[in-house]
Amino acid sequence: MLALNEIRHRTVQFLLIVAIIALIGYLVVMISGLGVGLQEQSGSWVRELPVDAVVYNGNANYSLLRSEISPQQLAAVQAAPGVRAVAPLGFFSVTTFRDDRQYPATLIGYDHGSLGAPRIVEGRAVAPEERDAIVADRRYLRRAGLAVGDTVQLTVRLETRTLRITGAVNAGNFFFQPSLFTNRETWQQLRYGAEGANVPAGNVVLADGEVVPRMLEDAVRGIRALSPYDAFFKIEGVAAQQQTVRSLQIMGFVIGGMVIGIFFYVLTLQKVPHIGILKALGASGWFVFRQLLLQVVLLTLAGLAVAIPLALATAALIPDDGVPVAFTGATYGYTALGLLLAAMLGALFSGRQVAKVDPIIALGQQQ
Amino acid sequence: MPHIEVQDLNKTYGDGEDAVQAVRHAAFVAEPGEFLALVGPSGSGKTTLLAMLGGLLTPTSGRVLIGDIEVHRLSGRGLARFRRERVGFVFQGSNLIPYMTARDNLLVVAAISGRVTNEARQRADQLIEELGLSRRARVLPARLSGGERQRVAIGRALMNDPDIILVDEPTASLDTERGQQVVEMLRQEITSRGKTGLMVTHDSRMAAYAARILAMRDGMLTEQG
Ligand SMILES: Nc1ncnc2c1ncn2[C@@H]1O[C@H](COP(=O)(O)OP(=O)(O)OP(=O)(O)O)[C@@H](O)[C@H]1O
Ligand SMILES: [Mg+2]
Repeated sequence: MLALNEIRHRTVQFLLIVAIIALIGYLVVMISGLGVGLQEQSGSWVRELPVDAVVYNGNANYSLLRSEISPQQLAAVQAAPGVRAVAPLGFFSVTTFRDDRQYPATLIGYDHGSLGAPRIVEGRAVAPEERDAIVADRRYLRRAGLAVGDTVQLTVRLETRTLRITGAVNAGNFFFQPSLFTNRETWQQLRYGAEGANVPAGNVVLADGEVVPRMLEDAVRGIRALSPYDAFFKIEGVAAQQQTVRSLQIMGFVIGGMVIGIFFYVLTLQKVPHIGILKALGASGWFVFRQLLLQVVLLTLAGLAVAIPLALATAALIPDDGVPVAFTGATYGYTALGLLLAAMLGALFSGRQVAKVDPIIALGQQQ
Repeated sequence: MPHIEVQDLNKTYGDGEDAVQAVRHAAFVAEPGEFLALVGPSGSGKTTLLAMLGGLLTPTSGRVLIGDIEVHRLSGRGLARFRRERVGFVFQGSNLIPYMTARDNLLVVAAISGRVTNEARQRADQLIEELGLSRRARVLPARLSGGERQRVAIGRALMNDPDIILVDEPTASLDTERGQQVVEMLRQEITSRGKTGLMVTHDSRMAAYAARILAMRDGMLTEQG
């Protein structure tokens, strides 16, 4: 009752702090959205792969791009205890073009129908015996103005090849480039100029069954294995990128907490006479502080209620190939919770001040 | 059982050469339904005595009994609870919370004790009516006259149905006529409800409303008349 009455009475001051919280909240929500957007761009689908393990060559330092799995290693992984299914996965960073327009992409050798491969949403998959056929990410098609049935070209080893687009998928980006999918043989042909047992089967192998990455490492010599989650954060730059985003977020929280803390501290100093009266009437310090906490929570929520739609609107205005921002329920949840927590910590400054007020001042003052 | 019993009460501020003996060997007893005035020159220790009775200040030595409570033994939370449950204060210049209406200033007392119940609302409305404030109940203190503010303060002091009502210079900011109205109202509320009231005042005309007058001089308490 006290808390709300005061907010109503000091509308201007409280609107001001709501505006400031909204701006800080906006900043933090945008940063969080940037974090999610960067993850999506880097290949967050790797993290979501429905498999037990991602298997690397043992000498590749867990690099998806630098690892190469030999056909023998693939066979060994397949034969390892607990493994029910495997799928080799190869990456190849390419520049596709059509006429004089160029579209960078990541060409992924990933047999259709194998473990966790993306679902076709339009057209058909690349058949096993087919060569120079691809399934393209929807966003790639949209950006390039291409449709299923069109062709694109690419030059590898001084030779220009023409690829037919047989279907479309909704796959995320990989390394900030849209994904194209083809079968293992085409990938081997394009990347190594040959197919079969003398070239790598893929960069990594996905393994599923009752597999624990650690046990797989023990069972097969010369490999390393990680869960998809860990594999994602081992992608070059992803960990550093997420750390950067997290630091920015934390700075946002700290600044938010401090601004709110200072505002309420000044307000509390102004209110010392009233606090004296309340305490003289028998209110505990905790009672007074509770009113303050309630105000902090209400104002922070009000600020967030402005910040989140604002961030959504901004994200909608950013073009598809612009700054990568994406929001999930968790983005809002964490941001709101973080800012609330920071605000409450900021309010603790004032808690000390409240505790120090001696109720006897109520007797000395003249209104 | 008397509402107020003070025995050999002392308060010394500071120590060594700077020590000020604000109250010395004070003693008196006041029964339910009694309204007492406390007079004396500035600096004689009136507010200090009042603060010790109301649990705002801890005595240096001596005993303060309010009903069955040994106030001089309480500290911190115990004192806050004592003030919440047993004491009604009317401060100099009313000291209402400026961002709350007259009615809400009464309900604050209930909020402090836990919850604003329907019972508390009824009590507040009844007090407001008795004090002739019905038409001013939803007005902020800044829009009230000095006399109205003091009436609200009296209502607030009665909200928790206290044993004792302590009043410090209630008429300091009022002209004589309004001051007399306020004091008369106080006296009536205190005696009719069987409370014990103690009012500090400089003004002998106000003191005349009390049945007993205690006088203070240099920290020493005597009863007049
Ligand atoms: N917190 C304090 N610290 C030191 N001395 C104090 C303090 N409070 C009061 N005194 C001193 O104690 C004496 C009694 O003060 P008190 O306020 O009780 O007098 P009073 O009778 O209420 O005066 P007034 O009529 O001016 O309100 C004075 O000499 C005063 O200076
Ligand atoms: Mg005084």
